[in-house]
Amino acid sequence: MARVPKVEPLGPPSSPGGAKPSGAKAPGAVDDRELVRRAQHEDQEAFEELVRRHQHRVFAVAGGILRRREDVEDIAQQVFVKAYFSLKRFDQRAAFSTWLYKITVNECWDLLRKKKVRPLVYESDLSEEQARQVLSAEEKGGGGPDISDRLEARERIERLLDGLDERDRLMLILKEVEGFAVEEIAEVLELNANTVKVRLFRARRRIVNKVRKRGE
Amino acid sequence: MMSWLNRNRSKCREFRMQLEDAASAASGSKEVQELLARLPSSHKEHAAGCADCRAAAENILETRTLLTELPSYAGVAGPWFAPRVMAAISARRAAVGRTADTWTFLPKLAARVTWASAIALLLASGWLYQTPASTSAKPAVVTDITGEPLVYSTTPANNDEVLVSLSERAR
Repeated sequence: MARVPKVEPLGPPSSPGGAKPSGAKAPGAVDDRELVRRAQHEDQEAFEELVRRHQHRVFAVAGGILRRREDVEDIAQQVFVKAYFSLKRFDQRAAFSTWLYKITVNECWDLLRKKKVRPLVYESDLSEEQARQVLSAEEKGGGGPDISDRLEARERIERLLDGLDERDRLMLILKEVEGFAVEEIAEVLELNANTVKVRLFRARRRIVNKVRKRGE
Repeated sequence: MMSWLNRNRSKCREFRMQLEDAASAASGSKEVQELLARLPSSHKEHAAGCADCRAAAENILETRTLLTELPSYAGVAGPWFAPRVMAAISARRAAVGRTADTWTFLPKLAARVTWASAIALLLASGWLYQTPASTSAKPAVVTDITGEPLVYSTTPANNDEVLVSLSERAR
């Protein structure tokens, strides 16, 4: 499971053991505010650096909502393009990441509204590449269940999650799959951290009750 | 009784808040005891006596195990992504530039169009001023139901009418 390291000093790192993305900020590197300021003055390299820094988390948030790789890639690109053209209006009162996550969440929910479908991922929806990813993970792991069993299990979990409220589902995925801290989830969804904790607790209880009811 | 219930509820709430923090800190925990070990002793005592709070701790571990089957999308973003975004931005800028070019001719043309229309207006008004008024409008003739005019024309229709009018005037 890939955990995404934080890109800004919001608190303690949420995933100390996670792999560091290629664009993660090195100690002493230029901070986001400076990069944003430069990008606002048409510095393309500065913006490219911002993309590299935040792409993993934008993918994680979009993936948590959309659950389809093709959609996630398109939306992530759309988010950064939109951010670039709106950057001059961004006054830096909030962190760049907060602003970017808001754009991401809004774009994703807009897409879902347009499609008017629930973001379910079934076996048939998985691209060849995703199937290959699962297969390669399987080979690396050595042994383990068959790929079709894993896809089936994944489908079953997606169905379980589908019974949750959109926000609760996103919270749970961001927390348990993408390795976000509670504070970060609160930032993405513009909620109080305690509200996030309470909702996570309820979402977990619902999932576990469902699993027990189905005897899975 | 009520105060005991309220106190217990607030303890549960407090425990769950702390539990979430403990779970975040111990992301690799597989046992409830590992999670509880990170909590202050008062919370541990509470967990020992509260089945709901123990269940909350178990739920954390159970959902965590369940969700490990789901792929993370954070890793999907690779080094190819930033250049792709920058290319999309360049394409969009070029498109915006082309649209802008299409409209830049308008201000230049606008000055000429203004002059041309001003001259045309001047000529048209001069021509209208010099042109004599054409035939005056005929007065409307009001007719009765049979179609006979109600207002008779002042000009005599024939010689007899002239004589009649002269005799009336002589009277």
